[in-house]
Amino acid sequence: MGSPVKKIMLCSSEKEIFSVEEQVMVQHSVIINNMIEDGSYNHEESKIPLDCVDSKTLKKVIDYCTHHTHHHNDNQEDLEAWDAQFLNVDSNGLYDLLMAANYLEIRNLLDLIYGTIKNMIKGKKIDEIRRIFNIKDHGFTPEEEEQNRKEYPHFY
Amino acid sequence: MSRIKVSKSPSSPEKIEENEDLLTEILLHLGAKTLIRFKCVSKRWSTIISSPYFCHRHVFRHANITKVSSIFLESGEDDDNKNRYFNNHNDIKPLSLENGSHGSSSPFDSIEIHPKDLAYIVQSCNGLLLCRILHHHKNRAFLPIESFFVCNPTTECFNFLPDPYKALDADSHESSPWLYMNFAFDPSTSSSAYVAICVWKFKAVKNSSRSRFETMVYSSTDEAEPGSWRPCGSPLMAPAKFELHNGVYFNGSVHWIGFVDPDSYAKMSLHVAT
Repeated sequence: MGSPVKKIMLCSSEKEIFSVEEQVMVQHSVIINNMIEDGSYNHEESKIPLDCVDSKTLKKVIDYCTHHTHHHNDNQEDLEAWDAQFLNVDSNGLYDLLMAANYLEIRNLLDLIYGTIKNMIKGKKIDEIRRIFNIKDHGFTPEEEEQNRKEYPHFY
Repeated sequence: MSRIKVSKSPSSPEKIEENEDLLTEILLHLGAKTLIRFKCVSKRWSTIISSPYFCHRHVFRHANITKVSSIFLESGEDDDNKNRYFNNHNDIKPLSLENGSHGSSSPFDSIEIHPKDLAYIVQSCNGLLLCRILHHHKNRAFLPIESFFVCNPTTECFNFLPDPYKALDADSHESSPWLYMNFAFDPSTSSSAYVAICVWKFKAVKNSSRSRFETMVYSSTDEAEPGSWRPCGSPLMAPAKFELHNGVYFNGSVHWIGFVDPDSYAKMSLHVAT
C-alpha cells in the first residue's frame, strides 16, 4: 500500500495550477527545497505563485525536473539526447526557460541553458550579437564605435 | 474575453541582456578570445568584461581547464642554425589547436624588432609569454645588450621589463654574466600581476663543486618600488655544472632540472610570492 505521493501546487503567471510530485521539485529547485524545509509551504492550502513564469514554460520546467528525477540512472548519452530535444525551442522559448530556471534556481537546467546560449553566440560577429539581444544603444560615442570598427573590422 | 498581458514583456532576449546577473553568467561561460571581441558589443558589456570581479570569477571557472589553445613556432634560424628565433611577425606563427577557431593574426604584430635583433620566447606561464631580445649592437652602442618583455598573446599587450643589467651589483658577477630570466604568473591569485625572476652565477669559486646563483625579482605591481628590480634574499646553491635554463613555474615556485654530469641530474626550486 505505500503512502500517496506528496504533491505541491505551482501557480503560473496565467494563474493556472500545476500539481507536481514534491520530491521532483525539491530535488531540482533550490528555492522550493528551501520553502519545504523551512515549513513555509503548507500542503493543505499553499500554492507557490510563479508570477514571472508562464504556463507553457512552467510545463517545460516540470517536464525537465520530472524526467531528470525518474531517469537519472539512464546512460549519459540518452540523457543528453533527451536534453537536446528538450531545448529544441525558439530563442524566446529558450530565454523564457532561462528566466524560469534562474527564478527557481534549478542549477543543472541553468547550466544546460547557459551552455546552449554559449554555443549560439560564441562565434558570432558584433552586429549579430546586437541583433540577437536587440541592443539598440551600444553606449559608445560615434568616434569610439568608428575607431573599433576600423581597428577590428573582422569583429563586425 | 480579456487577455492577460503577461508573457511577452518579461521574457525576450532583451530582458536577459538587461539583467546584469544573467548576462554576467552567460559571459562567464565564454572563452577569453570571444570575450575580447564582445567588449565591442556595447559599453555595458565592455564594463562587465573588464571588471576585476569578472576576471577573477572567469579565471576560477576556467582554472581547471588545462587545455592548450595554441602553440607558437619560431621559424627563424640564427647564423649557426642552432637556435630558433624570430625578429618579425612572419617568423613566429601561432598554431591554433582549437577546432574551428579563426586563423589568428600573430600576437607580435604590434611590436617592432630590429631586423638584426634576435628574439626568443624564454618561457610561457598560464597564458603569458616571457621573451628575450638579443640586440645586434654594432653601431647601436646606446642600446642594452638584450632586453626582456612579457606579452599577453590574447590581448596583444606588451610590457618591457626594466633593464636588469643596470640593477646588477658589479661585485656579484663576472665580466659578462649570462642572465637566466624566468617569470611567474598565477591568474588565480591576481589577474594582472606577474613576477620576473632574474638569476645569474656568482663569480666562480675555484675548485668548488658548488655554484652560487644570485637572484633578483621584479614585480609588475610592486607598490613600494614600482618598476625596479630588487634583491631576493638568499642565493641558490647548485652543483657546479648546473645551468638554470628553462625554468617552469608551478605550485608557487620556479623549478629547474639540469644535468650535473652526463649520468645524473639535479632539481632546483625557488619559491616566488606572486
